[in-house]
Amino acid sequence: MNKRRIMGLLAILVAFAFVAAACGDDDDSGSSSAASETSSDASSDASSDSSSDTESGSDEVDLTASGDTRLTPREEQGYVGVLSAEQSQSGREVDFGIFEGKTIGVVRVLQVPEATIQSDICAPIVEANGGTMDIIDSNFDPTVMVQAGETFLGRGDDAIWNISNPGAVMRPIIDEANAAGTPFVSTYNFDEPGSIDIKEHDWGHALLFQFIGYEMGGEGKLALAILPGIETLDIRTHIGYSVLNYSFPNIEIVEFVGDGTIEGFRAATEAGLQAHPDVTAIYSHWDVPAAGVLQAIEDSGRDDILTTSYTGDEETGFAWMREGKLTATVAQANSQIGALACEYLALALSGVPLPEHTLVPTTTLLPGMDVPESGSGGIFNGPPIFETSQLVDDY
Amino acid sequence: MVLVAEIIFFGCMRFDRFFTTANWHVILNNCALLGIISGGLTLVLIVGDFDLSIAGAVGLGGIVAVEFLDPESIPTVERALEPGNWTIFFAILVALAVGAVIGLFNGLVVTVFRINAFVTTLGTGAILVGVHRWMRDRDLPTNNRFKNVANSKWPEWHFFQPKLVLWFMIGVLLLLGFLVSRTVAGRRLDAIGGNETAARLSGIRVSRYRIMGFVICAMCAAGAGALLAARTGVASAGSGNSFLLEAFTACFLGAVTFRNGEFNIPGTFTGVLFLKVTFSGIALMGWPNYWPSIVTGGFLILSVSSSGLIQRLFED
Repeated sequence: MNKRRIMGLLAILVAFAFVAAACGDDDDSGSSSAASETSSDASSDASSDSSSDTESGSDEVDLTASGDTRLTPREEQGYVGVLSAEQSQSGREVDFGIFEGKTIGVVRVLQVPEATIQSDICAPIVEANGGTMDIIDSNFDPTVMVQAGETFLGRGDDAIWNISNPGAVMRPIIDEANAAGTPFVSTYNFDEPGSIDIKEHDWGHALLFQFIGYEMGGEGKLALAILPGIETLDIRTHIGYSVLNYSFPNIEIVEFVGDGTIEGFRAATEAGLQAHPDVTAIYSHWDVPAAGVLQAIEDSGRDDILTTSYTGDEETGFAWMREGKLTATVAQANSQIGALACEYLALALSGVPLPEHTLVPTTTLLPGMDVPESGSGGIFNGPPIFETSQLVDDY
Repeated sequence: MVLVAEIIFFGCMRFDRFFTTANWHVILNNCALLGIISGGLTLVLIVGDFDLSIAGAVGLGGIVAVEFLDPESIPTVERALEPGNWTIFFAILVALAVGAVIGLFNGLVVTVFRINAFVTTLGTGAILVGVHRWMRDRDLPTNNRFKNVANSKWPEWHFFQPKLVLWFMIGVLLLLGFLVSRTVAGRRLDAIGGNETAARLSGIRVSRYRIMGFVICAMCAAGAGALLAARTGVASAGSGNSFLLEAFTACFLGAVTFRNGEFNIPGTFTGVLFLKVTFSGIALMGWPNYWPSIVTGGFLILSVSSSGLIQRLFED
């Protein structure tokens, strides 16, 4: 009797499982979004789903771009309410409604694309959800950086976002924010403890300098058009020297140092090319030096110089790639970083614990690769982001 | 003498690179914008005033010019001024007009409210930086036709192929030089700079000439800003900052060159040339990048002290 009951119960369960599975398949194949069904433990659900799919031999689940469920940063711009874990950059469910009535103080380094693209993604989200985002540009001035942070904390802002100002300079503000329990999110602040830090993974530079080395045939003279003294930029220089000195020791490196303006870099490159006419390749720290370098090369009439750069702006660096003026570049994922920072601000305000460091991969654009079109929002949602509690210097 | 010595020094050290057409093409073309700005500043310095707002005027001139290049910004006027080249002409005129307004503001505050020129122009400069950011939250690209205004080479057949921006500088400096040395207004500017009280007592309308100095100075800066935007392809806030120290250095260097410590246009051009030769020489020598700043600052101190010393010697 018991056996029969058990067998009957099992039969009912199996039948129920088949029906459930069939319904699940229908839901997956349908066009309706599953976003609303996600919960805070969505990651565990996702892992169990993928394992069951793997067991059943299904090839529907893949981790390529086509299987990416994340919204593009432009889609996320102005998003209202709850964003599901599958759609978010952070892989967490984010309630942007937490921004209602909140004020976010932003200390931004400059009105340059690297920084404005980030804030342009997030500001509409904050405002659409009833919050306020106030931005002060420090213009590389350490005093202004600290004063802006103190002003935001002094007036009781709910969270601080530091965009590309050096973390070491912001140290007193980070400490003050921690003491007050105010979330301090930072992009490119470079591993200052006590902040929720997001930065790009600079592996793209190693690849770019390998490319330069091979294109130069392992010998000749390479110029670096650089602005020393700024951590984000110095790291790029450091990677260049490391890769080239190790892999291509016969390449001589010279520096064309500019003052941060196009005109300054143009003058520096013109003078540099007079001093080193045997330069056959130039790397530029970012779009501004690249603009000056390209003008100087055009003026000199030289067409034998390999030009490379570092960019995140579809109207400058990517445009030069499309026009063939720039041979290769490292593409930042600024819009993705902006969206991610916005999610972290909302999550931090909601009391969700966050990783100390998050790395967003860059993409190295080499000849023959697709370059983002104007108005596309640049490059984003590449390989998964990487979270760590270790200082990036530690590994 | 110092300029000649410098040219000989760098020429001897890097003969193969320094005395090339390409290098002097670079040096002279790089003199252009600084020459225009310094030329205007010379007029203010002649009457004994100061203008620290030139960097702001350079930036605003560029932004305004590029803003007015956009046909949508000026729908009626743009149509009236077809073909498109007139838009460029109009954009530069607007930049000059903005410069005139800045100069007029400086001049009126200094002469009517009797506020020190140093303080006034420092304040105006800060205001202009704010205006830049208000007008533009990011760099504003120009169009290719506007870029040609500064970057076209004329005459193209000439082996030196000077850029148009260089001809602009030559034109402006010739005009200013003529104004200062060959006109009544120029002599009155000199008189005011020499002894303001005496000038006033002799019937010169001092305020009017001081205002004129500020207006011309700001117009030169704003016009140079428009050319800078054309040259670089974008107008950006703060683009004029690097010109401030260099312009003052060039003027003070020029003051010790020709006229016994008095500011003058040929001297200013010599100062500009001196700075650009220095920059080029340092680059050719492969000296570290901090040397141009050290040299510029050092020569500013040297030239100001020499200027004062020479004036005292001649007064004695």
